[in-house]
Amino acid sequence: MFWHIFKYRLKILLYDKGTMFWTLAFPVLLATLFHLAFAQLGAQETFQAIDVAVVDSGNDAAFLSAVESLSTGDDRLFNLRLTSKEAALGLLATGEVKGIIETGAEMSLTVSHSGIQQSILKTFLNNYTQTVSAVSRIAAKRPELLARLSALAAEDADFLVEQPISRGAPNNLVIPFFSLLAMTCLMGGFLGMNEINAIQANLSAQAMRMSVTPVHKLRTFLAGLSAALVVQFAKLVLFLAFLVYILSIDFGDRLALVMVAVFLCTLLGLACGAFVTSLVKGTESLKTGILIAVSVIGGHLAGMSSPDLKYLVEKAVPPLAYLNPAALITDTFYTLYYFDTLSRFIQSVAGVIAFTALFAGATYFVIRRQRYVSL
Amino acid sequence: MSVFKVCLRILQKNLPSLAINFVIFIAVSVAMTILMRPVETGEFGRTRVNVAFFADEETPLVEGLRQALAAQADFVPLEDDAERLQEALFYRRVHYILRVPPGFTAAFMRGEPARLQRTIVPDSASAIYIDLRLDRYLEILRLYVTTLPELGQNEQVAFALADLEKEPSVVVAAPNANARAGGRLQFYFNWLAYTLLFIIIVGLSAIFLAFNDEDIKRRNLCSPLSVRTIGLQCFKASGVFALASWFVVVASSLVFGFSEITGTATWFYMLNALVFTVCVAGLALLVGTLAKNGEMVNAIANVVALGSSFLSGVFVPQELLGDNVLRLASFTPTYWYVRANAEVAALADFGLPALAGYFAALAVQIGFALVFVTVALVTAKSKS
Repeated sequence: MFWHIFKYRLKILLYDKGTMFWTLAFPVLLATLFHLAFAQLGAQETFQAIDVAVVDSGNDAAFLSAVESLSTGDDRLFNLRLTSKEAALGLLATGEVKGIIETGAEMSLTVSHSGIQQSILKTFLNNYTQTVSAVSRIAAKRPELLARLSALAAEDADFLVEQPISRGAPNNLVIPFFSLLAMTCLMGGFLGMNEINAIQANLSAQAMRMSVTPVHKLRTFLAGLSAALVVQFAKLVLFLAFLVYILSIDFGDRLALVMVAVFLCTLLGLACGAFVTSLVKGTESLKTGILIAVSVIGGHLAGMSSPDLKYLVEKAVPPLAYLNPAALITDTFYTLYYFDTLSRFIQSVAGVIAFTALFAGATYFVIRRQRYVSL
Repeated sequence: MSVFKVCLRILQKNLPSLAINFVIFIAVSVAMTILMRPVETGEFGRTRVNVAFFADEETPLVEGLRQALAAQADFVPLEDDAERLQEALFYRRVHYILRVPPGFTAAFMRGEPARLQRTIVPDSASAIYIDLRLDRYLEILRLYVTTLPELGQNEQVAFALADLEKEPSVVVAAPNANARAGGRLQFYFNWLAYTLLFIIIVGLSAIFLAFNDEDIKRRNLCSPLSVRTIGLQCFKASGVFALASWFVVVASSLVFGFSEITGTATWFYMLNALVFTVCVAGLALLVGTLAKNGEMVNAIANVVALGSSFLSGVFVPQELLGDNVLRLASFTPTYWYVRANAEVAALADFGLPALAGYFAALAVQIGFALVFVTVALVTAKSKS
């Protein structure tokens, strides 16, 4: 009997176009849109060679060669243009260069507005003036060193060593995708809701029929739930594959653990839906509304629209972050991706399991041993 | 006016789901008001980067380092705990973590290789910016250490810091159009496109769906009202709803962007929003004709509103979207709506020739509206 019910529940779930749309097509569409919209956002933070115009007064060859040497090669600092003052101002007005450097006795920088690239230009220019200042101070004190000084000043020493502290790159644009996956897991609640609707005789005609069958209610429910688990897990794996292989979202290199997390989160989503449906007394649209609020608003608070929001919520209202299943699921993927150790991941997974147990336990106590006077 | 009244009642029934969207609209507007940076003034403001600074030793050199960096960095006090630091870097509370290892000063003063440890967001501009300053301080200090070893460390550091004060002048030339764009009002007007799309599609489709129902249609055919009258009253109610939605979102945008509403641009933003509303109403008519039930309308409304808003620059500015994305987006009216707003924002004078781009974008939206209505009417005709 178990397999019989399982088979038919599977068919029903697979033919349910509405649920298919919200739990598979919609997340795929959103992920694609995120991908298109955020593609350049990450690049904005990355350093790109700065377009700069130099107006040369003709008497500062050392400076010019310094700028020129920084304007060649792949990791160059500048894209250099040597022009007249008028042409340079024209380029600045159209935004083709970020700044104009004028050489001469008094060096100056002209920019159209403030910004990181303009600030880098200024710091570079400062550096030059500052070195000249140091060299002239030393030359005044020890004139005999004058010949050696320019060589000393030009010596390039390396004072910095990189110390990476995390497993993944600190690319916070993965957060919207992680929380989108979290939202999708929670949208699985609709399947959990369907399963409850299919066995609670006060909720649907189909459930009335099922409740007069000589099959134990728990067995009917478990068969339906297993079907829902299979369908929802398959959808989530498809969605994950879409994120990883088509959109190239970095989930880190512990994919097996990612799959375990996805499985546990699928259970959480189903349990959440079953919990809301069995506990809330009200119309189906009210239950749907609550499920949408938990998944969509929860998703937003977990960083779907902006990673900053997730951080703000965690720091400003910590209980909201702990009690939001979407934030918990997002954290599961984030900790796996970013941290070297698994301790934070295990904490998140424990949270996911605790929530699932709570939802499933409560659902069990509500739906067991219900009798109806009349139907 | 019985049909008109029925239409309003249908809208009333849908009010809760529409209100949720309006609440989201207001919430995001409030969040943006808090998060948005003030508009630039004419003076050059040096960018400041958040840095976490940890020193395992305290020497004049390290103190000098701190002072040298202070010109470009805001020091963020953080607990020296690996996971907290990792998290702070991930969420960009800090962009640069600098650590002075023990023995750095002694090695540096002896002229031996000495390294500071840094953790950064790879390839970021802010890292290069801080590196430049750090390197300069240490290079100038090394110059003093090698050439004037008779001076004490304190004096050498003082000289280096004095040199670092020397700065050439920076002139801010007349800011160009791109820098001027991006005011508050433009943002709010762009952002209302998403809300308008969603509210009008869901709201109006509900009316068309109800009247397109087979049984209702049959019932209406035997009523004393002509099909024409029923249709006209439906359109009237739709018009009232669309205008009301326009009024509510535009009024809220004006409230949020009140500091800029005295500008001439405000009128053009409002006109653009009105044309867009007409266009969306046409789209809603089409959706109402094609969709079979409320669930489908909801799905279409979400796809259209989110899809076109993402691609057209409502959520992420158009300058940050790729050319291919924008080319695709130009097949949606939302793109032309956002573009018209951008045209207005970039204008300094509002003469007719300067407004050509703006009016062209309006014309495209009206073209879209005509196409939507025509297709809807043809579909409805063929269905009946």
